[in-house]
Amino acid sequence: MKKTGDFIQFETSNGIRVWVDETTKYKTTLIDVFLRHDLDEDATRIALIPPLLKRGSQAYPSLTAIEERSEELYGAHLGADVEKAGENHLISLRLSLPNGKFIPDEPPLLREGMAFLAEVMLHPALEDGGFQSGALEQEKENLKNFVEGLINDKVSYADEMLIRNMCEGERFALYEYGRVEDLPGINGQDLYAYYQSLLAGCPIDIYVAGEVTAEEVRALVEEMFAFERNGSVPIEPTQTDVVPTQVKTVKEEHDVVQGKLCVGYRTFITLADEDYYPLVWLNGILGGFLHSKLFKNVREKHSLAYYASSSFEKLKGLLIIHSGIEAENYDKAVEVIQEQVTAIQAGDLSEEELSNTLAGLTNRIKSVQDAPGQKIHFLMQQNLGGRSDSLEEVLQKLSVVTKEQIVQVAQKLALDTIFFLAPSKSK
Amino acid sequence: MKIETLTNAVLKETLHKTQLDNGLDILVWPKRGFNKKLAVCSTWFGSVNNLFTDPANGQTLRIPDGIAHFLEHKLFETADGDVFDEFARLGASPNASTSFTTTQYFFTCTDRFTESLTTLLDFVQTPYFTPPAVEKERGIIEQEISMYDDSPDWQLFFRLLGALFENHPVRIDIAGTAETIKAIDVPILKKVYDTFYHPSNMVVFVAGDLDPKQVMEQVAENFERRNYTDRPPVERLFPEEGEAAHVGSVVNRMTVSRPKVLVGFKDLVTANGDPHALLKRELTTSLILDMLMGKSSALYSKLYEKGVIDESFSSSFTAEADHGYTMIGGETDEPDRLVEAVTDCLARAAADGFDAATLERKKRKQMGRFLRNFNSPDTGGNVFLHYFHRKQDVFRLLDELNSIQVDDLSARLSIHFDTGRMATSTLLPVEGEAHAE
Repeated sequence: MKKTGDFIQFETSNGIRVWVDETTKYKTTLIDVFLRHDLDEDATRIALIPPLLKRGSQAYPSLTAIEERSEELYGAHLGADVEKAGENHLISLRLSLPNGKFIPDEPPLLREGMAFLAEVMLHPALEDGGFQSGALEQEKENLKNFVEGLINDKVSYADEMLIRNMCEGERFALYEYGRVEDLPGINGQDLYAYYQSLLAGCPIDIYVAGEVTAEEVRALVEEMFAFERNGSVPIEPTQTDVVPTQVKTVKEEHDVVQGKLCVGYRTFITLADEDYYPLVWLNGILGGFLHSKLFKNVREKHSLAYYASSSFEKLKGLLIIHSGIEAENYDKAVEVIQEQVTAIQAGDLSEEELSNTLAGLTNRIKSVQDAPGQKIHFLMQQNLGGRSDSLEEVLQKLSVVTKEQIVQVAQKLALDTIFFLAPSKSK
Repeated sequence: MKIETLTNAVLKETLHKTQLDNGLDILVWPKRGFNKKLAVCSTWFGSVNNLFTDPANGQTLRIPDGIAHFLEHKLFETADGDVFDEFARLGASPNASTSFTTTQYFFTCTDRFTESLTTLLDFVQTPYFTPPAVEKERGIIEQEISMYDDSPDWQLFFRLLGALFENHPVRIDIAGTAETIKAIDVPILKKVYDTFYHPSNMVVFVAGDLDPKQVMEQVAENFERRNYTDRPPVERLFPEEGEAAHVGSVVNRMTVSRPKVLVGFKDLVTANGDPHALLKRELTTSLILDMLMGKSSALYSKLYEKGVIDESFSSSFTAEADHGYTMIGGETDEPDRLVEAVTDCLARAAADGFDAATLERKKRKQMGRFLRNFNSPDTGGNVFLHYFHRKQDVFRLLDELNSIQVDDLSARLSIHFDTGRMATSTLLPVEGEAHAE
């Protein structure tokens, strides 16, 4: 068994990779399973699978039976969802349940929890050799409502619309919950056969954190996740070299009081790159914190926005600025936002900004060490992105980044798209 | 300094507690092996406290709605500038929140805890209000209010409270309205600050891998050098509130893709209630809701399988000393059918009673969920403070939970879920508006 940071790593006999964080910090054990596929035209089929898994298994054949089992396992949280990470489309299954040592009579909850998760993942309830048709039709309807319901959360909606416009023609533009128009063509038999091909062919990774040993986890995974696998589904790399030829500006009007402005840049830098840590710095200085340029200038100095921040996609190489503004401040806000980027490109970074950013980044990374879900997510992204730094190494590498490196990374930024969700004129 | 130590054998956790002569409570929860530390300075003053007897002169005062939240924003400004700058220098992550009943200022950090704690305690105890700054803040808060105006769930929630309560200030948005915050100025902020930011009305909570005694001494020293004078507690006043729901149902329209509905029940509040009776009431009501409406209930699977509800369907009960309410609902294409199914389900439970085996399974679930809170300094910290503010002993919760029997559920059901105290809030899509894409 190998060690990556706090995690012990091994591979099962059927090629599932497993990472275990043996820690006494928590009252619960967390088990995260990720099945990895390309984000592509299969997105809708993939998005339908997690909700169907939660609808019933062979041993727990209904929504109610699954939920009752979770309750018996002392309120275990069973999660099944999809996630987009770069141009990867992940099916994630998660079980979090108490450690038996905090329960009277100390029941063997790791074993029971692992068995439950394997049952839900590997033995869905079937009908005529496919997913149950009644459940499938409802989950199609729920997925349709969910996709159409994106508009209910204006902040997320604006972010998603920026991505769709910015990455038009790239796989990254696909929504992880798929497309409504694909739903009618999906049936239970084909979808189940497709899921079987994913289980056999896609990379599967399992992460466990809690007061457990890697040895007992290995024995349980070998026992419960023993099925034939062939590794037949190839994974394509994420496209990161798209250069914007001109800036796209998109406006959409809705019945909202406050406008949502999103600005997208290409960074051409991902987790695997040399310049990755300077990019982390750049985002921190620009909009990662309350002391960052965006918050200080767009919100506080010019009173243009209630919120103004930035985030970056570390596998696709995007940097996105988010803000909530009054419609009449649109031109000014776009101008002041771009001024902040220009300032960094010109090397306008104070000692205070640098030291505050290092302190803030340090605080964030050390906090990740306390949160099992975040710690697993951090490692999962590193595994996807081709980096293997422990949290200690991350801290060390961030501490040696120079101002010049940050400025150089900023100079590579290319403005691609501006999206504005505007209040409709009638308002 | 006399330090009390409370331990729970099941949780394997210990809480250290002391009270200063000026009335300040200090709680420390040592969390070994964690990098993260949490400190909270909390005052028992929330948005519902808009009417009180001024301890300085015995007069009754009605203050503008939204002032607790306004004051929260304003305290972050000091004579030397913005206190966020100081936290940024220390690498700490500060924030604050105003609820119906409390205002809390807090930070989390991994390094330089002692300096960050001093910064927190100093800024909360050093009000600095100038007319231009108050004016500027008004603009920022107006923006924040307009952001809430665009949030369907927030609107749905407050429309429900408005339908349930006729006079109780819980019906008013925590931030107030653009109209009510116009009346806020420097003298009224000072008055409110002096009234509610007195150590006898406050608590400091700290969690992390720290020495409790050292933390308590630092807090004590910081508060004691400011020479607070003793004074009687603030008497909080509430308008007369009838037992019945204010109005039966409200319907509003917003940009949403699908209707949303909430069914609410107003709780009867018994004056000077025993805090542990309140805790038991909260646990009992939550168990009723979980048994009848939770994901493993017959109602849930029936409605889910018919497509009436989706995963957004949920229910909860909130019990404060001065108000309480149940909320049930989510997204649905058929709001009326959902409301009818909920009321039918409650009526059937009143007739049929509750199943003892299901109750035991639900207790297991609640126990596991409770344990989970103590996984981190911040969630655990919030739980400790939540119960402390209600004068409830959090370590008694599991015993109270285990003591609940099916008869308790039936008795509580008949009192609380009375259709005369029920209201509904519905949000419908704006007519003629197309869906996204």
